[in-house]
Amino acid sequence: MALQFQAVVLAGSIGSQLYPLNSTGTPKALLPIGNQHLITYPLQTLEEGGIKDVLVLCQGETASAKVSSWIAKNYQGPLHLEVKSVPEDSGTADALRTVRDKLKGANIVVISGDLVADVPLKAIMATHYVNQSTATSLLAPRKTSPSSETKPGKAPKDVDYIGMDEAQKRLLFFASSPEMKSKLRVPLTALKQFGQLTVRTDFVDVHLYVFNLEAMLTALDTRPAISSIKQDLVPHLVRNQFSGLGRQPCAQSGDSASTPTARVMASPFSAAPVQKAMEILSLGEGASSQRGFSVFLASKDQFCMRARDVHSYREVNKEITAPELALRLLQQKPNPKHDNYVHESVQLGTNKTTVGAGCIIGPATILSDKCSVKRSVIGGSCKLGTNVKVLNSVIMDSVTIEEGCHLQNTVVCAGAHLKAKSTLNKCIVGPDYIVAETSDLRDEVVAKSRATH
Amino acid sequence: MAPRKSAAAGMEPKETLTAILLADSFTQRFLPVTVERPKVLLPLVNVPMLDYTLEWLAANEVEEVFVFCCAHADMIKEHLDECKWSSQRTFKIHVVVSTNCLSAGEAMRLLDQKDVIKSDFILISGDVVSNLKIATVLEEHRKRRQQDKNAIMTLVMKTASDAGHRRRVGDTELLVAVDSQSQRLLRYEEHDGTGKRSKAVPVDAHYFGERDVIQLRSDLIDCHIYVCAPEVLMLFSDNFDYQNIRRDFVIGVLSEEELGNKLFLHVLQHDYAARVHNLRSYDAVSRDILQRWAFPYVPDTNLLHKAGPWGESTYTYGRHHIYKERGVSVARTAAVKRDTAIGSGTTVEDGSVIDASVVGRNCRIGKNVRITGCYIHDNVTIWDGSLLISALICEGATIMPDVVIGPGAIISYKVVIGKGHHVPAYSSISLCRRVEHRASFSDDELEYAQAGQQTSPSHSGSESGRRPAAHGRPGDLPSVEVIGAADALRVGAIPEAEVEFEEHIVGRGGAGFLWGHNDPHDDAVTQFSIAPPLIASIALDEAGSDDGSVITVGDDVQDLSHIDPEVSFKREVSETFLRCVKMGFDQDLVVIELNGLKIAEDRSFADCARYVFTTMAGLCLPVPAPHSHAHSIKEEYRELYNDSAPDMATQAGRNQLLARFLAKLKQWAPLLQRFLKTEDDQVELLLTLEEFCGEEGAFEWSGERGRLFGHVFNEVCQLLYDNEVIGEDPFDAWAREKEHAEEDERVFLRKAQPFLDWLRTAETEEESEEGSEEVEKEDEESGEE
Repeated sequence: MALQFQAVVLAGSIGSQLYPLNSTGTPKALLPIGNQHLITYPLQTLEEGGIKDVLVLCQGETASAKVSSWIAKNYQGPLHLEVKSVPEDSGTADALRTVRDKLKGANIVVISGDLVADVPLKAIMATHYVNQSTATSLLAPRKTSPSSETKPGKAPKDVDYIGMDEAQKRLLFFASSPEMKSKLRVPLTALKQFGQLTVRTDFVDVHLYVFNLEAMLTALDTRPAISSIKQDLVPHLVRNQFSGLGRQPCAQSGDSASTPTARVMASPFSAAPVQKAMEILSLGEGASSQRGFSVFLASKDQFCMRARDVHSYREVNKEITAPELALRLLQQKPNPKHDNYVHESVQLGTNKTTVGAGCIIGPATILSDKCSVKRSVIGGSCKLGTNVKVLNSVIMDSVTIEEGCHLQNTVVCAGAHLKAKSTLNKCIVGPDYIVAETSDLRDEVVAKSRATH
Repeated sequence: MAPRKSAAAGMEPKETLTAILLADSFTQRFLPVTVERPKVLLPLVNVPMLDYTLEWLAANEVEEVFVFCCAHADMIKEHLDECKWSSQRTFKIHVVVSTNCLSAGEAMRLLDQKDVIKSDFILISGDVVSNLKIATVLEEHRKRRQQDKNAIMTLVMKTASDAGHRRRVGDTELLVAVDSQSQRLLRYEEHDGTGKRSKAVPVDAHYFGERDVIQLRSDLIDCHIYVCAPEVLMLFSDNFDYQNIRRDFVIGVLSEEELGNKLFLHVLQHDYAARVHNLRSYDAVSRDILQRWAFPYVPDTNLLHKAGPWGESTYTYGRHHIYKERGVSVARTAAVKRDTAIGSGTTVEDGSVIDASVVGRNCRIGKNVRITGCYIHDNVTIWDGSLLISALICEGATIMPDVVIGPGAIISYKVVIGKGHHVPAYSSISLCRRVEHRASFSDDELEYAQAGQQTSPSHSGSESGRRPAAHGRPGDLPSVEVIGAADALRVGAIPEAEVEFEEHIVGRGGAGFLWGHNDPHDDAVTQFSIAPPLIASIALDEAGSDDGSVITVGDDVQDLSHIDPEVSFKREVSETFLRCVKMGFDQDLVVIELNGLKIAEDRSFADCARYVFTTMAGLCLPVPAPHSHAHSIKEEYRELYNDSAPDMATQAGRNQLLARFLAKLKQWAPLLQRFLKTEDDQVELLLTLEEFCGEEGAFEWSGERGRLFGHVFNEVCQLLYDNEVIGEDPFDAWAREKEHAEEDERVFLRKAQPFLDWLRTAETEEESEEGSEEVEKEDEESGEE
């Protein structure tokens, strides 16, 4: 089975969505989450799925060079990784198109480089394989219901409208747009064929797909307008499930094999041609409905989240500090006494310094007396002065925090320096930035201007 | 005790459960039958429809019913006075009459004015058959009402069992959107199948502002049972343009979301509920009752006529859903087959076959009559040798001998059909004359009228057409002279009054006028007809509106329950074969296709080969014109057939047919050889060829004109032999088998005699000793004939 699957990681660029976290040129894939590089999470998922060949696509030469040198130096897993760069501004589907000649497996797993998930890829691949699907998509439940955040009479923002059959096995309708939509147009053929169609907004597409290579390439080749996987390719394949119904097989299209007669004609008559043909014919009328777009629903207790912007980056970091999750994702055992992940080389102040459960602290970090760290991630080689309180925050490597600082819901990037007695709430501090003494910041993003480097 | 209790001070009076029953559906779908009788009094499996609804209301502990009558109000009143409830105290029936109401909306406004409804009530029309326990729906409704005063109505719907179901009950397409958690109805959309429609269902995204999950459903059938709050009546008064309950009220309330009124859905899981709103559903619901889906409302519970004008009923149940009342006499050689009910006093004479039909009381069915899928009301006489397929025959009609009545025909009250006449499919005949001539279905009913027409009263109307005098009526009641003349013709006398009946419609000696003949190729006609819809059109429906290409829906054949399995198998084989011919498949592929069919249908290869052979022979002739739907040929295969039929009277014509046949045979002989390996198989083929040429058995109604091959039977045998499809021995065996058959079964043996003789001679030449005796024998025999 493994041979039939090949994977593509969409590792992204030095994107602007995560500004200012990567303003010093760190590609998104190499940002730390729970003190590990982001890209290790999707790679881990792929390892688990038993996949061998992986293409890592980065937008832009710089990003790809950095990622590829990181992989060369640090990656020791069983995957055979190949890094490819694609043009800076290409969409996700465009990226697939540029490497189309490299795609060899019968089925392609496409995973976003920022997906942190503990969903078993094997199960998704099996779903895809068993159903002979053209594509399978992983959907994760949202933490909060979109309707609870929307005023009655208004359409919700930034949701995926997902239409499924009664058994929640097939994707029959898909629409997504960051903007508010006013009307959804659900295809009548789908509704008539299935009788019931449930459209829901409380799930989200997390950018893990398995595509049938043939179907995917046909779509990419015949529709040059398809640029993004989520916005264009997925809706196209979902629609295509129904439009081919009852049509004569068209000679040039790749999926002509899906109509029964065509397949019978194509099948070579071997020793038992009748039996073989019978097998195909038994799919008969249902054949077009057998091959469709499948869904795999993650359950509520499975973790599945993307770090696609600063907000979600902080969220993922926060979530990952939950003990049982860290166990699954980081594959580290917590310190049995405090239930946290403090590296052995960390120097803890002896006087009233506490590190809460689930916190992750990297090597060679020094915490002075009376420090308190709760539900936070602190990188390596940081220095925290006395009386520093850190709550729900992410502190990257080599950060200095002087005495008396209070941090809450804040991200501090590598090399930053917070002078004494600053208070920060819901802030982002860019790399190498220096926060002045006794500053009181709230809901602010502070970073060195781009021009300086 | 009881009165004192309720009079006690400070005690709230118990809410009485009331119902509004609309005894007029404000439609014209049952014309011309409803010109003379109200629809709710039409017998449904020999019980007036209204009784099912009343019985159901009584069983659900409804205490007061307001029966709203419009057309034929006097008849309905009379019926209610005589029925078993008239004397009951716990179930009070109030009759509200208004003869000039044109729509359900007006009826509702009138009831609102009368101010008789004070609490939650059930709204139902007098043609609903159900065994649902409404208590659960009521409880749900009341609970919601306590929390939210705006939850004004609960609609009862049921799930269609499969895609063909909706078509079977003659329903139009229905799309609904509901909040999957609260079952609140968000959108209700009906399509009557006419006009253009988009390929997508638009769903307002703002629905998702209040909920995460919305269900879109196309698999629901509206049962037309509504639990309403009193506000519903007020809303009808407030919106004086509301006419139809669904089209105006439901859709109106949903579109005025900002007013806050909410509608909810209750989807039935196991209960039965269905409305008889056109002839199609009349057939479907009757069948459901016969097949006991509506239990306890089945004939043998004899629930529905305890007393009343129809008298007590005495049905007993027999195997295969056959119900007979006491005093039914069926001749020994007559057959009553599955799904049939027969009322008391009816006689069925020798050789007649009744299948999947309902026959009323005091009917007389003569000898060798065949009745399939028909509804025959009381006091109908059908004389010898007639054939009736999927027709509705109303009370008092007379069918003279040897009449053929095609599917979907309606023979209204007291009509007489003359001897030997053929009533074409989908025509309706009545003693009433149609006054106004409009396009057949444009005047449908208010329910399906488009928005622009709603203001015009001429397009709306109560079922009998008792509309304001300024507008035309659909028909007048038949005059005394007409009835007198018909009665005279019925007994074969010469009528006193000179009435000119349309003889080309009802035959010589018949009485009646054409009400309407409808084109059987018009989908709107067949969709609502009493005859089951065509298989091909179901398939078309399934294929979606995409590009109109047809996919084969083999399973749907089962839906049409009264098609002979042999006929449907024949059809399957022939369609498979035609497809192969059309696609130009080579033999190996055809073998595979047929093999699949053979396994699916659990038949033998010879079975397939027999019908492949007849289909192949059929291709030498023009497209068959079948007498029943079961045989109709799909549009796409029509081109495969020959354009013209050769003139069999001339030698040239015969040669032409044989030449065509030979060409086909040359092509397909290897296939037939492959399937017909044993002697028995080959004999079977000969027997089928006989049936084909004699137009018997599965070919009886197929219109394939196998008769033409009968003229050249001898030559066909020769060709089959020459092409090694059938060997000597099978011919021999066949001839021997037939030797002792009755005279009329030896027709083809006689025809093939020259060939058989030749065969024997050829044999003798080879093996002279054995053969000579037989030849002598044969000679003797032919001499006798």
